[in-house]
Amino acid sequence: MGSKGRCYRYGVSDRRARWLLWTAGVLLAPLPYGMVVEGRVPVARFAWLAGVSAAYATGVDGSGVAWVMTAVLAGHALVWGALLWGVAFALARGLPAAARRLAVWGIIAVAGTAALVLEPYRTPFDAEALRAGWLGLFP
Amino acid sequence: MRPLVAGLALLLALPAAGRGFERTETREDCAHHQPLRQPFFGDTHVHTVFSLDAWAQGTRNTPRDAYRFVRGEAVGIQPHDAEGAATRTLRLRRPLDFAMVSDHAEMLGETSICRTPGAPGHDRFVCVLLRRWPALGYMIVNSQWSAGGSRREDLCGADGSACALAARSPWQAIQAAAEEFYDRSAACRFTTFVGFEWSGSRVGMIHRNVLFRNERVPALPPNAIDDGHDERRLWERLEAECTEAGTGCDALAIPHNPNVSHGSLFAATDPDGEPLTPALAARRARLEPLVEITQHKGDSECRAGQGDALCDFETLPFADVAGHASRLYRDPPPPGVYVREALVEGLALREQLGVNPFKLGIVGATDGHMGTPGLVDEEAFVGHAAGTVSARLEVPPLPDSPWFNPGGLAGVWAEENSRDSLFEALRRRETWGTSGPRIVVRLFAGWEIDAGLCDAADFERRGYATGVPMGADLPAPPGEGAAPSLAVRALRDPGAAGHPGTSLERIQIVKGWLEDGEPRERVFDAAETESRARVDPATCERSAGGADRLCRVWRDPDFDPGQPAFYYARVVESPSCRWTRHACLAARVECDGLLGPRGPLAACCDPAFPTTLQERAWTSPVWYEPR
Repeated sequence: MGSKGRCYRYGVSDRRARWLLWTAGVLLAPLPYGMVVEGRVPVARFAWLAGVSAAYATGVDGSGVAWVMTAVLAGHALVWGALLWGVAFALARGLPAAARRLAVWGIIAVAGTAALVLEPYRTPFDAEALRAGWLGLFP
Repeated sequence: MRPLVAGLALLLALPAAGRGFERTETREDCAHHQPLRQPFFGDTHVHTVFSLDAWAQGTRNTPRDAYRFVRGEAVGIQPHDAEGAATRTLRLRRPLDFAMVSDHAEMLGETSICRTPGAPGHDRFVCVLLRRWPALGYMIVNSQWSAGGSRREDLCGADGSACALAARSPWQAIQAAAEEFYDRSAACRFTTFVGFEWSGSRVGMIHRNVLFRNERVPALPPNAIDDGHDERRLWERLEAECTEAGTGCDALAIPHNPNVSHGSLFAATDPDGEPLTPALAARRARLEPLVEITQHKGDSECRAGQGDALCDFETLPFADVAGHASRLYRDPPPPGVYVREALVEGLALREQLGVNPFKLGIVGATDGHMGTPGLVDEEAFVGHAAGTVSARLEVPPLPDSPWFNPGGLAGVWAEENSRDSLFEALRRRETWGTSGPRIVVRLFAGWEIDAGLCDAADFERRGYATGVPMGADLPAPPGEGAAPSLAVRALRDPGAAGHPGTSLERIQIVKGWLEDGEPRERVFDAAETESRARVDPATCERSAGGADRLCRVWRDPDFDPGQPAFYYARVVESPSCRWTRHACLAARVECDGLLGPRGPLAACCDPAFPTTLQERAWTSPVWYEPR
């Protein structure tokens, strides 16, 4: 077994840490709308709404601003996703190898708990509530 | 001899003996009938949950709620809690005399389908989009449906019949609410009108509110999506289904927001770009005798920065309504978008066509989207839910876009508070608009107005006897050297208990005319208070001073009988705080720190938004046309 294997056994690799942190960021990190409305939602919510808009544009009516809104929302997802990738990359490399597993899962656990327990998101496109916890993002 | 002549003229000038107007409906005569007419205030532009944009903003008030509100009852407004109960309530300090719910005719059926569980089409994707993500859904759907030509068949069927059928229910509810709250007794406490908003768009907004004289109305309101974004189609349908249908139906249309019309509302061409014909100009003049000079989305009297300092009043410095949300849309307004410009253009068109299509009387309105007519109080403004600032989910820090304002009211001189009396007053343009306060202003113009008329106890009687009221044409001058005089009398808004109105500062006469075919305008100070009042922006407290009443008989010093002209009066209040200042004070915003407020409250410290203003009233003009 090589060094990667040992790393996998005793901790997590750079690559795995990066993917774990990025995935957590995409699912959990409240990020602002840069245009159209004011709010803070995760990349996954941007992607979800882009999907809704695209589905409507494709299946019902693509005229007006349907595709524009799809592009704006997808653009948010792409830009924030790319930035999160950079953050995850830097964070993963910066974590000491010995403590990486603990640190990565610790970050995910804290962020996940906060996302579930607190209401860190502001969802201006929602019908019922502006503030939401994670479970309120994807009905 | 003069009293005899005046008496004879009075008989001729006053409306026909009896009521003074034609009664077209079954009702009791009003106990408080005044042949010399009395002032009534109203709001003819308000939206309820039946309008897609209002619904998307979380409005749940119906036309019934709107009429309850304007009569003085408390109603709930958004946001609503998890159980659906309104978390805020509003109540007008003073009821209005008349009102009209003017929901958008466009998407009336679509909105009804999407709102009504079990309605055919209720579960379509478009309705799910609108219900689940209303702000996103509204942006998408409004851009498609209001532009026309979109594929609405998913919801409406290939011929649109499903939506037309669905529109019957809200249209009937609008009529039923108007009937329920219309006081047909001799008390004549309150008048409703059945109406709707036709929301066509070309380059900019070419919206109109259509007001029906009585309960006899078309089966469905015409709309720009089905008929095209062409005001000629609206006029054709109004004539075919109302004014010339032989059913007793009568209607007039009131254009609004010329300030964001890109010039389309007052174009000297038809919608195809061809020059106006006399027939088309006459049709417009017949159906559209009024214009909404002020409302939530800006004031449209005159262009700021052109010499009249008081034109810088709630004007939007951009051509498109979207300019309030994005710098991308902040081109300056093009020529021909303001009422004063249109009034002068009308004089020129009359020279060419023999008809003045822009002989426009003046009214004000709110254009509120919460089912709350008459919500014009600067101090207690909670927004109108008609912009990008939404209270659907949470009370916003600043209740509305700082570019917008609470809007105004319509004033009408009518014999009594009944539909026929008010409608005829609207049609003859014996109306005025205010930016919110209930300033009562009366104007008579003539060649032999008594210079001492302001001191006369029978101002109105002699005014009618020797002149014409606002909205009318001056008769031919009696001889060489004659010049028209205008008698203008204004009374301050008394306010409500605990909330006194603001005193008056001055009366101005605005004259527009053609000189060798060139447009001209000039503003004259006709009357001014001897002691000006001030307001302290730090506290919004007003000082003593100003006038309770101003009156002046003003004679045109530069009259040329060969030049067509119009005259209207502008009555200006003493300064008071703008709604943004009240909101910023309530939020305890400090602007002198190193770190100023952020987000919406940054507007509190933005010099683009004044802290004080001078509310006002505008009379309908009187016109002089060389014979």
